[in-house]
Amino acid sequence: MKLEINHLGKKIKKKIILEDVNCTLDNHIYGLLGPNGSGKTTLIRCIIQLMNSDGEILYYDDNHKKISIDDIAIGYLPQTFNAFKELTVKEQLEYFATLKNIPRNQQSDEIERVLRLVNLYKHKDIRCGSLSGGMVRRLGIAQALMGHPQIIIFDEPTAGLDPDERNRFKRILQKLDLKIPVILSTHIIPDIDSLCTHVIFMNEGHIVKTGKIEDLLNDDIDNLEKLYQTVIHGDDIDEII
Amino acid sequence: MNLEIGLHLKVFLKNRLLVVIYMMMYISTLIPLTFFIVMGASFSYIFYIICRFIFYETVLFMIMSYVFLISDRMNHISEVIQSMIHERRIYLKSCIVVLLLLLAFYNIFLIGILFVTLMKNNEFQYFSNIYVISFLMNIILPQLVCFMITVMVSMMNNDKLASLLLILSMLLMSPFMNVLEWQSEPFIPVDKLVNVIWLPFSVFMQHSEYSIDSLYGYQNEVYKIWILVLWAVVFIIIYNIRYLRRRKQYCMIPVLIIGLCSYQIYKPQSIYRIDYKWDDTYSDYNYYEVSNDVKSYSNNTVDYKISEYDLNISITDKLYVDASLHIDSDKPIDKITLTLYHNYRISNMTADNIKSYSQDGDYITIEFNDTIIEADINISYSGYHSTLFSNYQAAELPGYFPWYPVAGEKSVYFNNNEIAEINYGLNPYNRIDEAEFNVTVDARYDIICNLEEISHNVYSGNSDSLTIIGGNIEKQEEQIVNYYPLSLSYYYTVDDYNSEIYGYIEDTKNTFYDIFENTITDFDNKMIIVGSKALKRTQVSGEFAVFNDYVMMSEGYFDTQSYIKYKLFNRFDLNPMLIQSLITLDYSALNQDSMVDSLLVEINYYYSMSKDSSFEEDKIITEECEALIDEMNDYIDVYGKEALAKQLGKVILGGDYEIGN
Repeated sequence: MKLEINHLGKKIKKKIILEDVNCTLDNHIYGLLGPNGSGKTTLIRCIIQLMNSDGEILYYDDNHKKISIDDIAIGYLPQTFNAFKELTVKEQLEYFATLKNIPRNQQSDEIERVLRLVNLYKHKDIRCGSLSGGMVRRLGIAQALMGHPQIIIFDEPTAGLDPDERNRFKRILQKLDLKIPVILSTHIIPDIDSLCTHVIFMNEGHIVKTGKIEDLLNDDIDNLEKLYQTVIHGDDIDEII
Repeated sequence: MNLEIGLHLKVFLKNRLLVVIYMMMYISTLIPLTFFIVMGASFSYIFYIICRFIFYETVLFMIMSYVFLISDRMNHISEVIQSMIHERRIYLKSCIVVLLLLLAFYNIFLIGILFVTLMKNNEFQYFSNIYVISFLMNIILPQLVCFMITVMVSMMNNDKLASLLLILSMLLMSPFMNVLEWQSEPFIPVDKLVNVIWLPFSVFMQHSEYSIDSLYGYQNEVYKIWILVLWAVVFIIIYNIRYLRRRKQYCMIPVLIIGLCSYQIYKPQSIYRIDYKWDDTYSDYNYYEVSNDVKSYSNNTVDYKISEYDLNISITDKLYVDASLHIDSDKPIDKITLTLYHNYRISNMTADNIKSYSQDGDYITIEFNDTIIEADINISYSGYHSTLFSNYQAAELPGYFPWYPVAGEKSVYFNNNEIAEINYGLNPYNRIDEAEFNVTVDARYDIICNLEEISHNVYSGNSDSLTIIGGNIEKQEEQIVNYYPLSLSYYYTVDDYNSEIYGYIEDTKNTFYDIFENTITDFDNKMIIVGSKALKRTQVSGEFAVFNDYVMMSEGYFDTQSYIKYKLFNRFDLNPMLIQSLITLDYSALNQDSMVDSLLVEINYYYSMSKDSSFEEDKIITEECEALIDEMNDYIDVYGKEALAKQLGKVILGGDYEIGN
């Protein structure tokens, strides 16, 4: 699976949110880093076409054939996620499974699979309104992983979580052997350190730098925190490589 | 899509709050209606109750719908749903379908209740298409409008503003708005502003605490369809706002449709409402300055008359008339005056030799270049009266009301302020010199007319007036030429209807003869046209008018007192205190002697109330009472009470009499 983003732009009420964004995403885990208001969430929404945008986004399957987004299974966990309070965990995932066109005879197994992945299986009959914040977040991860998505996007997945839940999230992602593009949008650098192979830096609606993390680091800038500071706030960008 | 509808129906059913509200709709409908049905209420009454109270059920539905529609946003789940389906508003669309299904189930439930009532009372023969249309216009249409408003409001991102708009919408549609009425013209036209805002929300039955008029029926006016279209267009615009923003050239079409709808809603038209508005039900009261006690009765006679009427009448949103009039004059004249109710405005007038014409209030003045003894005049006019309706669904145009031009200056409105009992209204005594009529009526319903029907809705004949009524009415081959299907039920058949009216007439004649030894002949050999209760609300005597070839009565109770009121209200030749006293008595329990005694008691009462007063009016009353008491006592002394009663009968009937001048 591959995404090509060409000259992507987005204005909201005449304010430029994204401008001339270009990048290619392959089957890696990308960390999308940037300060608040840099356009990360808007970029994500444009990728999964929750928003219209200028420019183009092209999707290619593993045979390099261009496909439509309607033919792509997307796993998406937005920054703010909750569930219908009246439904149980299982019923909520059945709801999502139906929307994702997972056949009815496969839903039960698929739901069990993802619930076990996120360690919520024993809570499957609890109403979503009774879940803790961390459990809701895990439920969100479960629905994103359900149905074998071809792209997964997590927007601020650990926001509001305590350290235990954050570590649990990292363990879940580490357990998955995902051979698809995964985007992890966050401004918490340690989350990316342990999970991502590639990084995309965004600032003020532009992609300022993208690449493999190990290629972007050197003796002087030997960790992601310094890289972030240099890329976002520093002047000597050309000296990074 | 079917899968998603089932899915979202399940989400709805899992939400206890929504289910409770939905169940409340059923329970709050079922319990009271079951009570009424068990107590023996007729189908028409149950139908009326549903129309009257459907607003409250719809409010529950609006609340339930709003909560359901914003549930995805409130639960922060909308983005996830959209990412799965790649379709904007999939949740909204699915919920709309689910809610419409639930609404349909509820209306099927209502129809079921009505069907059960029909079966229980065996009233199938009283069911007509009137109820189907009324159900659509007064129950379904308002619910659809409310639903569209709820969906539009739910699409707003600002939930506080959305909630406020929803509450405001409910308020504007509620019966509370019927309270916001001005009986006299306000200094600042706040009422006009309120009306502009309120009119697109006026979809539920207005003033439904009053029973429906049998002729007019339910509020099925065409303008409500335009309200539905207006909201549908607004809904389409809001729903596709993003698309339209990018393609501004397509905005013109909906804007034009909204303009058309607004014109149809706001244009002056005949709509029957029992309200308290100064420019509606109270318009005549204010126009004729009754509150300032202006005496507004005159009976001017003129030397010319309209001897032939050729009228092409079209009744749509209001009355449209093309009239050809032939005027005959006893002597050469160069100016004539016609009376036409001031709200019927002339659009065109032509005649040979016409110099000019003007319309001022109720009077049209026509001047000719030369003197004439006859003339042919063509007049086109249109308009409506606020209470004597004339629109797509019904018309009530009695012959004493100048909805057609009549010769001379007639008093359209009547207020005899010499009588203490407050009575004002349209003048039921206006008549024309007998004329030849040829009338064609273009209306969406059958017409009852005092003239002979030549073919469908074409009438011809000679008469002293022209009466046209139509709507929810049926003709019959009886002296009483019509009845109202909406008045009938299992407990009140056509035979009961006729028997009741004939009974009133017979009782009145018998009572009058027993007391006054005079025979009422006003009903003899004349057809009886029964008007609806709207007549009672407009006419000064309320119930009754006698013409050369027919009688017009209003539905409802009629008795000797009603008859005497009609006969005496315009009798300016009589002592006002005699009139005042005679119209006050309850004749049902009186005989000749007790009637005379009661009359004297009544007159003495007025005398005692006024004799010590220093007001000029009271001094006049005292003098009148004294004169009357003396006259009556003198008559009794000479001839006895029975003879006096007989004389009073002659006074009432207008023959030769010896007392009471």
